[in-house]
This record gives sequence, C-alpha cells and structure tokens, in this order.
Amino acid sequence: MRSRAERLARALGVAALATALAASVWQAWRVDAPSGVSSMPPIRLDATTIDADSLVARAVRERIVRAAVQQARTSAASDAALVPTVRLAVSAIPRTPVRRVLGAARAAGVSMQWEDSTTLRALSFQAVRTVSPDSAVDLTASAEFVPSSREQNTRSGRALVMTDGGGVLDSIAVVAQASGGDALNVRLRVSSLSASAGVRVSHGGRVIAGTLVAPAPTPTVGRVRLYAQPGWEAKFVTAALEESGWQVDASFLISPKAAMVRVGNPMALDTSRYAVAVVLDSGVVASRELLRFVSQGGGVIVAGAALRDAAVRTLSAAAIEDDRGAIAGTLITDEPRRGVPAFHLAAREGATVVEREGDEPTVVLVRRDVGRVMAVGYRDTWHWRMEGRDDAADAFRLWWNGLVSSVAYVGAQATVFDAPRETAVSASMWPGRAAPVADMVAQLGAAAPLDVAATSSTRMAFAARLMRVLPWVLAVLIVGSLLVEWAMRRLRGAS
Amino acid sequence: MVARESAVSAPFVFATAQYDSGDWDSAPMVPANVIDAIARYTSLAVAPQGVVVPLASEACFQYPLLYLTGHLPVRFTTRESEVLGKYVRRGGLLFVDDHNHDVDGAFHKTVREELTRIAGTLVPLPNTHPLYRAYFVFENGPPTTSHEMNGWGDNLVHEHLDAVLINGRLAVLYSNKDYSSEWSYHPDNKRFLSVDNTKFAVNLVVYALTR
Repeated sequence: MRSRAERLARALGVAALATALAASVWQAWRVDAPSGVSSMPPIRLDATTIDADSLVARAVRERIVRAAVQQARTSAASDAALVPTVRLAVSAIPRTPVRRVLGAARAAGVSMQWEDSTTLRALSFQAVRTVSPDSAVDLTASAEFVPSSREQNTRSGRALVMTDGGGVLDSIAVVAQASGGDALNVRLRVSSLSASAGVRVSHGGRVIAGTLVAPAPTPTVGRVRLYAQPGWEAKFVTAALEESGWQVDASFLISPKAAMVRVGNPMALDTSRYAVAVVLDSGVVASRELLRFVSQGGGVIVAGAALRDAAVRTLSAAAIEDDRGAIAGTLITDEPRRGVPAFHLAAREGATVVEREGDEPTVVLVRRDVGRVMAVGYRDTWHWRMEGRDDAADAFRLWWNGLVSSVAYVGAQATVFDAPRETAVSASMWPGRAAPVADMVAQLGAAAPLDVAATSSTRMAFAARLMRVLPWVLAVLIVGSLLVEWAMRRLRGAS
Repeated sequence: MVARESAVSAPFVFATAQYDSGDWDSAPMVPANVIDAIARYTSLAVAPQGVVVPLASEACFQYPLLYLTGHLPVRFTTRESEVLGKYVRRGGLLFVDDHNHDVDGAFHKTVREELTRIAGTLVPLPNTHPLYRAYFVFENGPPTTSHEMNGWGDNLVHEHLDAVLINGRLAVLYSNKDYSSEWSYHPDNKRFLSVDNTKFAVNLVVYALTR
C-alpha cells in the first residue's frame, strides 16, 4: 500500500504533466496564429467608409503590412507558409480605386475574404450611343435587390437614380419579384446628354456605377434612301424616320408615263451619301445597286412585299417560309405587330434572328461583305401607328429607327468604353464600373460568410501547429515521468 | 382572335368624314370625281368607290386621308373631337373645304374654331409648299375656283389655303375656295372642260401618299 507521501507525489506528477501538456498546446496555438485571423476584427466597408476611399485603401494596406510582418516573425518557427489574410465585411459596394487595391493585394498573394452584406446583389449598367441622326443614348440598367430591414420602407433604398452632368435623367424604382427579392430592369433612351457625356447610377445618394458614352458618329450618318411604291406604308415609314432625324430621299413612279415624284433629293445609292437603303416593295430597285452598296459597308433593309422580289432574294437575310394574316384586336395589345400581316422567315446561314413571334422569325439580320442586310417580315406596319394605342406613334417611330440604326453605315465606328482611367489589362479582364458587383467578385473571388471561413481556417491552422509541437509534448511527458519516478524512489527510500 | 385578310399594297380609298352636326354629305359627287382624276392621271391603285366614315368611330384611322365639307354650323361631339385629335396626331391628313365659300358663313366660323381647339392653330400655307408641286405644278398656289370668280359667297379670291402643321407635317388642310362645288359634277362631263379642274385633287392625294 502506498504511503500518503507517495500518493501526493504521484498526484503532483500527473498535475505537472497536465500542465506541461496544456502549456505546449497553448504555445502551439499562440506561436503561429496570424494576428489578422484571430485578433483583428474584419474591415467593415459600408456607406460611410466607402466615401473615404483613401482611408479605406490605407486601412487595407495597413492590415496587409501588419499581417505580413507577423508572418515574417513566425516564419522561422513554422513550416507552413501562412498567408496574410484580410477580411472584409461589405455592406456597400466599394468604388473602383478600393476594389483595385484589394484586387492587387490578392494578386500579390494576400488572402482576401469578404462577406457580401449589401442589399444590391448584382448591377449591370450600360450606355450605348445609337447610330441615328439624333445620336440618342440607350441607357440600360439591370439590378437585383435583397431588401433589408433598414431600407425596406425608405424610398431612397428602393430606387436607382441616373444622372449626367446636367442633373437627373431618371429615377427608377425597383419592383418586387415573386421570389421575394426586388428587381430592376430599365431601358431609357436619352436624346441629349450634358457635354461631359458621363452617366452615373446612384443608390441611396451614393454613386455605385458609371460609364462614359462614346462620341457621336460622323455626319455621314443620317440619310436614308427609300425604294417603294407610293402608298401609306412608304408615307408612314418616311414620317417615322424623318421624325427621328433621318433625311429620307425617295422617288415614286406615279404615272404610266414614268412621271416621278421626288421626296428629298434622291441620288445614286452610295455610302458617301446614304447610310441605309430601305426597300418596301418589289420591282423598285435593281439588285446590283444594293449589292454594290452593301459591299461598300452600307446597310439594306428589305421589308414586307420586297421579300418576294427575285432581284433581292439572293441578297436577303432570310427567305419567306409562311404568310400570316393580321390578327384582329392585337394592335392595341402589348404585341401590336401581330395586328399587321407578316411573313414568317427562314433565316439564312450565318444570319441572326432579331425578332420572332413564338418560334417564327420575323426580323433577321446578316452580314454581307462589310455591310449588313436585314429582312423584315412585317407588312403594312402603318396600321400599327394609326390604329394602335395612344403611344403607338412613338413606338412605331422607335421601332423603325431601331431597325435602321442597326444596319446603318457609319464612317467611324461608335464604341462603348468604360472610365478612361481603367488600364488596358483591367478593362479587358474585369467588368469595371459598368458592373461593380461583378467586378468585385472578379477581383476578390466569391463572397462567403466570414465566421465560417475564419473558423475553418483557424481549425486547420491549429491542427497543423499541434502536429508541429507534438514532439516537444512527448519530450515533456517523458522527462516528467522520470522526475516523478525519481521522486517516488526517494520517498520510498526515506520511509 | 380571327385573322383578317392581309391588305398587301391595298388601293387608295377616298374617305368622306361623317359628323353629327351639319350637312356632311353636301357634296356627294366629289368622291367619284376625285377617284376618276386619280385613275385618269396616275398609275396609283385606287378603289372605284369611296367610303363614308363616322368621325366618332376609330375606323377613321384606317383612312389616313379624310375629306370633310358642309354648309351648316359644325360642333364636333366629345367623341368626334377625341377621335379627330388622335387622327391628326398619329399622322392622318384632314382636308376641310367650306362649301359656302363665305368667310362670314356659319360653317367657316364654327369649323375653324373646332379645328383650332382640336388640332392647333390654322396658319396660311405658303404657295411654295411642296403640295403645289406634288404632281401637277401650280405656280401660284391653290387654283382659283369658278365660284370665287363669279361672286358667290364672300366674293373673294382666297390666295392661300390654311393648314395645321404637326412636326412639320400637314395635319389639317383648310380651304374656303369651295372645291366641293368645283368638283361636284359627273366625271363624264370633264370632256366639256377646257381645263380639268380636278388636277389639284390629284396633287392632294399624291402628296398624302408620299409625304
């Protein structure tokens, strides 16, 4: 039976061993834990900090430097090459300069972890100068919101505002989606922008996206040569294009004695004079003229009855497949072109279907040489303008202007480009300011909840460190056991 | 929904506007004479008979050129005003002729009030307007009518027609030269005329179909 002293010695030995083991574990945890993971709170990016871009960028750089220094101190005692990590809690989309700093840090090897707490899940914004005499700009914005308790009931939290240098262009409210989020899809055509020609989108009073607009096309754009029989279709197509700013030249055969009625100053078809040729009827133009025009880069629209013309058949983007009569009552619906007669088309090889009714193409576009040819299956579209809804005249004008603009020859190509400060590499690789959320993902990777990420990385680092200090733990155990055994022998010998 | 027959390259149809007040049908022979002139001088496809379209009906929108005349006071109903306003704003052309040839007459005064209220201010149309060169050339503007020359009505020869322009386009053309009387005869009697006085009607139709 062991004496009291022996039991006490054994208990002291066990306690010493446990203490040594705990100290080893704690030391393993303490030695190589990067300060950026365990002890430093995440950098929070919200509406207030985003406004101080330089401060945020500086804060990020400081964190990176501190983490790198810490890693350098412990690198000698560690086999694992721990990567300095910066954690971001993002509740507002940072501006381009901040995103660049973060992206550059990530490219340099700094681990960037960010949590998306924004109410704006995605935003795409584009401004395109149309090829038309008024050089109107098409602004297209698409966004999805996740309503938050803070912003759900505030007007500013549920709207995007488009502005240019001259002030507000439009304010677009979000609409509720069946899935529970809020969505925004809007297209706005603006005839004139301020001289700076930069358009911005703001949310909650803060600019979140912006883009510059391409310069206006050269003055050679603006004239249309019309080939048609005299009639209401020719009249109203001419009216729509003239109201859109195009100059329309045409000549009409009126009498059996070849008397011509001229509209404008019709001349030979050439890209030095005309951007587009519109053919509405058969037997009104020679195919060789159109072929030569297209080979120069001009645009040709073959519409309605002209699709039957054998002379333009080889040039056309599509062949007639079917003939649909006008559907009564549809001129005043959301699909007014179903209220006019139309050919359903079979697109030729390499052609692009621009518009269709169900599965049936009705507008088809194809490249021919350096020009473009469009086939439009609709006939007597003037019924839409005269017999449609109250906004039919505007819609009719926009539609025809869009068709002509899409094939028009331009002397200098209009381009769309982002902010001029974007580098060539970044502009080609990332979305930039036109899609800030997508740009954030491209720069930093996908977002993830910070707690899970931090915990998982902490656990892995701890396991690795534990394996490194295990030999020391075993050594302590062995020495401790020897000391306890020696003490017990001494006590037995004393007793 | 039933598909209606496609009207590919449909012929021109001469349409007369029917309105509630006044005598809208005071010149029943005008349509036939104008149709004859178009067929005689042009190769335009034209329907052999004209149509009468109620001004209160949106059927007007199917006829982008409308003819309106009368002797008596004119007061468009609310519905007629609404339809007429839409008609001219969408691109239709309304040709109005005072069958009295009288600037002091009831038709002239009342219809001009109504047109101003619905479509806009009537302004003199310059005699250099393309209308006067749309097919035949009228160097001095609108041709004078026999009723202006023989002292009927206000005993005036009106130098200009009046018009309402919308976006630079003719929306309303107003005449107090009494073309309704000038063209009110059977087309067969043209052979007795030294000058066919319906040629200006051809200009009107050709202009409407091409501008």
